[in-house]
Amino acid sequence: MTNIALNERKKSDLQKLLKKVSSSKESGFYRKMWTGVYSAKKPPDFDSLPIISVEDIIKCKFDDRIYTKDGLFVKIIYRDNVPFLLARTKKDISKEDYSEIRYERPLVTFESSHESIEKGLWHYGKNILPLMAEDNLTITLITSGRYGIDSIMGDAVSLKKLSQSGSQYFDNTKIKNVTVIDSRFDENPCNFLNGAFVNAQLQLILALPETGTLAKVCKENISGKLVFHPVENTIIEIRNDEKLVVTRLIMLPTPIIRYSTGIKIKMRDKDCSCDSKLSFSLQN
Amino acid sequence: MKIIGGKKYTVKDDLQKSFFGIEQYRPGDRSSKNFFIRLTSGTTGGQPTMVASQFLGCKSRYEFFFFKSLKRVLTISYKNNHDLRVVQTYLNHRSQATRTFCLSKRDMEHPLIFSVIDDFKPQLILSPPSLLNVFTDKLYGKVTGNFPKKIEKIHLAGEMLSRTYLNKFVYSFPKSEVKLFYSMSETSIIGTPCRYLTKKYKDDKFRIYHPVKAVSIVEPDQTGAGEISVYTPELSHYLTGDAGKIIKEKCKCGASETLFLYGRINYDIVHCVGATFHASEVERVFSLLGGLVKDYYLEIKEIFGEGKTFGSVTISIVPTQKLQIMKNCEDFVAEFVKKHLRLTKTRCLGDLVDAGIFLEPKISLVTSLPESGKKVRMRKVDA
Repeated sequence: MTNIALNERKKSDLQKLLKKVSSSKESGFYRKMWTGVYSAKKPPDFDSLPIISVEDIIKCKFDDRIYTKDGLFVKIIYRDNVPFLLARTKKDISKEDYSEIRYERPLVTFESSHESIEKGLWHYGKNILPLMAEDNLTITLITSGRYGIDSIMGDAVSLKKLSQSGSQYFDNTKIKNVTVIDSRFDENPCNFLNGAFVNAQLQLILALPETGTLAKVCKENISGKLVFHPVENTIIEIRNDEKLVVTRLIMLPTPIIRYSTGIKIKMRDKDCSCDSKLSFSLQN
Repeated sequence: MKIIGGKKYTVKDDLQKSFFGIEQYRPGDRSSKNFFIRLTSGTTGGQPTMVASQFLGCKSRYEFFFFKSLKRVLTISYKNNHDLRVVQTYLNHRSQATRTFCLSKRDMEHPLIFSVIDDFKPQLILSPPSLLNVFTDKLYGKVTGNFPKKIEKIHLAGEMLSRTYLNKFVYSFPKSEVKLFYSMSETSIIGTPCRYLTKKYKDDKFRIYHPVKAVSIVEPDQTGAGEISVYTPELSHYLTGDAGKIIKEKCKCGASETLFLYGRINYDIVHCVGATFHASEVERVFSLLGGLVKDYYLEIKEIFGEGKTFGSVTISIVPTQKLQIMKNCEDFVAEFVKKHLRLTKTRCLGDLVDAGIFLEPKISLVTSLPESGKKVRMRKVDA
């Protein structure tokens, strides 16, 4: 396992998270996972904590892995066609760093209606009224034109369909911002988005439904081979099989601590002027 | 716009041309948290309608009743804008922590969906009756866990509720209390049920409400019945297309008005297993048979099989002589109607028969149809 060195702020946030999770009265999910490496007397040592997988989450009943009493938006995630529940709160959704808001009338369009609703809630957290895409593409296009959308947030598949639908319903040149949020980038979305939305600033975000945002594409490398920088509130590690392990430093209803994402990455030397010290690319 | 008795009313056609309410939107302002886009999906061949409206909190205790619900809410609507509105409203306005879970069409098709719903442990279901019927059909013969027995409340809205649907829901969710709210996509809740009204008007309990918005009756007849108009800040006075009556009576719950809902004013829309019969569309198809059919009447119903609900339509035809002398004339009319009668945005009756959603239409030749003051060409009946 390759560990990435943490700065002092991240170390402090990590310690707070581990203390909160290990002493939580709401759930004992992680205490069970940490049997043998956890003691009630002191916070656990991060490096000794086991890696958890999606199977560990699926095996545990939903109520038994919820660490908050706050109101929850509950969604279904499908992994290898096996569905399981996960929850988000208004508070933790608002902490996701998807986009700077330079727009007023966004369309939100994801293959999963649950992801659409979650991103809709994120916009409400920014006091922006989102229009949600519906299953019927024609209805989505008509309503987008009527609303006068000026930005689009979605996954790669949905955005590709939208970009290919032509501009008969709304003015593509008025789109200022396109944010792609996805767990895979087999094809660079810029290939089909640049031509369709010529005036839009493009943002590509690596995220999993169960973890939230993990990394953003380097702005200086957006058109060629995609290079990602991890977001501030995330710790990344790489397993020996090159798979990404993440810890989110925000308190999610089911916290993400040393979670194996299944995403294969390769660390890269930093060759940009971005603030982040780390860069990686995805391996298929 | 329609002007009746010197007063202006907004009608559905207006909503297809303009986006009412959007001028109130203030991007970046806190008020946006309670601002929602309401969509109707668009009638057969028609445009979807959009209204932007503010949720002003629960002004009346009857509206609060809708939100005074239990902690675990399962919504079944298949509409993302609707689901977002429900989740955002619950997360913003419920003082007790709520868990909201919205089921999509894709979720409903998954073979393991009931184990996931069982894991969620819903206490309250929000749904239109027809979608809850689809959900209930899918329960049939499946391992569902305990959740059907743990449902405590079912809140239905958006459509009328037939006795056959009610019996089915009560059987499938035996510990649940079923309530029907009078609501429209473009206006939100118009009327709420009341247990005192239920006791008082036993036979009509699913058609009687206390209004939670300003409602009036337009062009009432001698009995006081007419078209229901509802006032909202975005739409002003809006003609609902529903027939009803309002009486002033004091209720033990504190309300002072009772609204009776009779159905569509022109019997112009009938919903059946997810399809929609529009009187104008039926008229269009039968106009193509002008030389063969003098008059017609459709009786539409839902037939419940094991784990499935089928649509059924029986058409009574007053034939012309030309049709009478035609060989297999009933089959001819049946095939014609199947081919031409559009019941969803993309499918005709024939497509729905092929897909096993509707039964083959039944045609019967009659010498005359009952006379009535208002020409009613189609009705939905209980099976």
